[in-house]
Amino acid sequence: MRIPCSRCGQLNNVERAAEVSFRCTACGSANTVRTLASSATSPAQEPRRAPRRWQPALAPRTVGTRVATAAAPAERKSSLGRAKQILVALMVLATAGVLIHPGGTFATFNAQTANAANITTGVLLLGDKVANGTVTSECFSSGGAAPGNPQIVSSGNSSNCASVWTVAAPNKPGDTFLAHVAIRNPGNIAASILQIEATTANTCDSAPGVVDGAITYKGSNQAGLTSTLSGATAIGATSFTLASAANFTIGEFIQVDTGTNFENLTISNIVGNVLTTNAAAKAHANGVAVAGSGLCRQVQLVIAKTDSLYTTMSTCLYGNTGAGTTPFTGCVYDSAHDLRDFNDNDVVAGTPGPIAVAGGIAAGATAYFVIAINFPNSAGSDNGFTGLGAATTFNFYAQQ
Amino acid sequence: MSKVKRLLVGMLIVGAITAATATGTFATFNASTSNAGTVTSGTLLLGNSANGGTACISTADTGAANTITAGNTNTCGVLFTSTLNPTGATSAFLDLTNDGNFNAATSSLTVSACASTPNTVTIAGHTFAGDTVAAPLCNKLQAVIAEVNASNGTTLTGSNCVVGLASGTTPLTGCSYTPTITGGAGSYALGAWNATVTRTSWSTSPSRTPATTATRARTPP
Repeated sequence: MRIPCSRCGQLNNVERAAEVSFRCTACGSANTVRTLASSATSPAQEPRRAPRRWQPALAPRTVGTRVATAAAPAERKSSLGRAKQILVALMVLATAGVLIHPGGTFATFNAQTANAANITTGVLLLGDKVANGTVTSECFSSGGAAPGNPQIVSSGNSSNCASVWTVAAPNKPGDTFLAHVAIRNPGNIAASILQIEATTANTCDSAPGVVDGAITYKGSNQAGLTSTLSGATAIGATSFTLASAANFTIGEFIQVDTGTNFENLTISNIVGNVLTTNAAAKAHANGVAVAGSGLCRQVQLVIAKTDSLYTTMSTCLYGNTGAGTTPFTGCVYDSAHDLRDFNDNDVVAGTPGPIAVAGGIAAGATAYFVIAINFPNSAGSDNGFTGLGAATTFNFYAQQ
Repeated sequence: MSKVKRLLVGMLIVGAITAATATGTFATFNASTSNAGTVTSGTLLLGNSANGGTACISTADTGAANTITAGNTNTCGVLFTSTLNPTGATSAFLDLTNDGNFNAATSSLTVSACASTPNTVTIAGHTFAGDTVAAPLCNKLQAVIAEVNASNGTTLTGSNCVVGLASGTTPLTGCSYTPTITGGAGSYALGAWNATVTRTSWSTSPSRTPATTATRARTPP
């Protein structure tokens, strides 16, 4: 029989056998021919090979006979690369798909399962209700006292609510004011952190005074302007020469400088216009303001967590926990706990920082607080404190 | 090590370094409400105008500062400076105003003790004066202080007859001189005093020196 060379195609005469090897008479390539057992009877029913990702094009397929070549390098030159084969196959499939299935639906047997994946975020809100004799409406962190419905919670989720003290008449030594504040978590996320904090340090004092005719009168302990520093001082200084030391007294707090250089010092001695104090923590320039302690330093503050009737204290958050009963046993007014101290030191960046309420506030829970101030009728509350103002902000902050 | 493993190890290292060195913020759900706390101290000032003169304020007017010192007290105009003879009388009107912005729960009038001093006269080198020890003038000067309805008014109101006999007609109806009230020294409650309210007192002192007042003259040597 005549068998073509797998390399050059030249027909070669070989004897019929189950397996025969010959060398091409034209190109000299070695060829081997093996007769398959099934090919003689049913070449059309050649067992189909399992699909393969790629099919190397070796020798041309002959019906009933497979030719295996020994000239592999010559065969690889004549076949497409794998990538090209894939691309060509994809192109063919795509073309067929377009031609055969230009559109429409086709009935098929099929089956599918689906699993929903839903997620919702919780809501953390604070409700704030101040009661000073008359109950005020609840104010919400998201929208103040009159939120919309539905209320959109903005990224800040912060709101200014009613003042804790609503005092119509000016105050005098001996006056006290108690504010009842109910803080509620109406959301569905428990806040692991609940804290009370001041918002801005060094902004507590003012001196509005009273105007008689064209003249404004206000107390000499105003924080704004009493005297000025005569000569710069360094960190650690304990001696401060003023333009005038009039109205300053030994034992009194003084407020030196403004802004970031602001600091409180305590007068331990006065000789002429020279004040002796504790060591300054900051340097101060010549001419900066040296002022009295202001009303903030004089007004004593207590913050207590109580029961819902505001009568039984559970935690003294700010105040003297020693002896005494006013306003609560174990949480009393004293000169070390005042508006100035809270305002300057219990801010976020202060020391010790915000006042933590142990346990935070659970979803749906309400916490009750008494915020009380006392303008003592002793401890030097003299006429130098008339016509002054003190203001701070009590910020309730909850976090998941 | 395969490429995948090398990539995962690299990501772990980057994550660890980031965690160790990062100082950024982390997103949390939070909420806050704020309550302002403002308190002001009131101002109590007392304006004093004697006989219609310029008001004098309890705290010294120092010009621009006008700070109220711890004392908040001031010395104001003289009520009267008179030379009295027996049966003579003099009087003054004083308008007092609470110039502050809150009501005073209490108020009082304090009259300091009368001090008798000699008003000497020198004649031919000799000085003559009354006996301020045996017969002090203060013991003879009858005083009346009353609160009246208006500046220079004569109708009693408020604290009414503060010093004097709460009857009679001289010098005021319902507040008259009496020999048992002389000098007027003492402290007298004037009650509550609301802000911006002006109260007027009608005051006489000394007054009505008796005609029988003894005088002592020193004869020249």
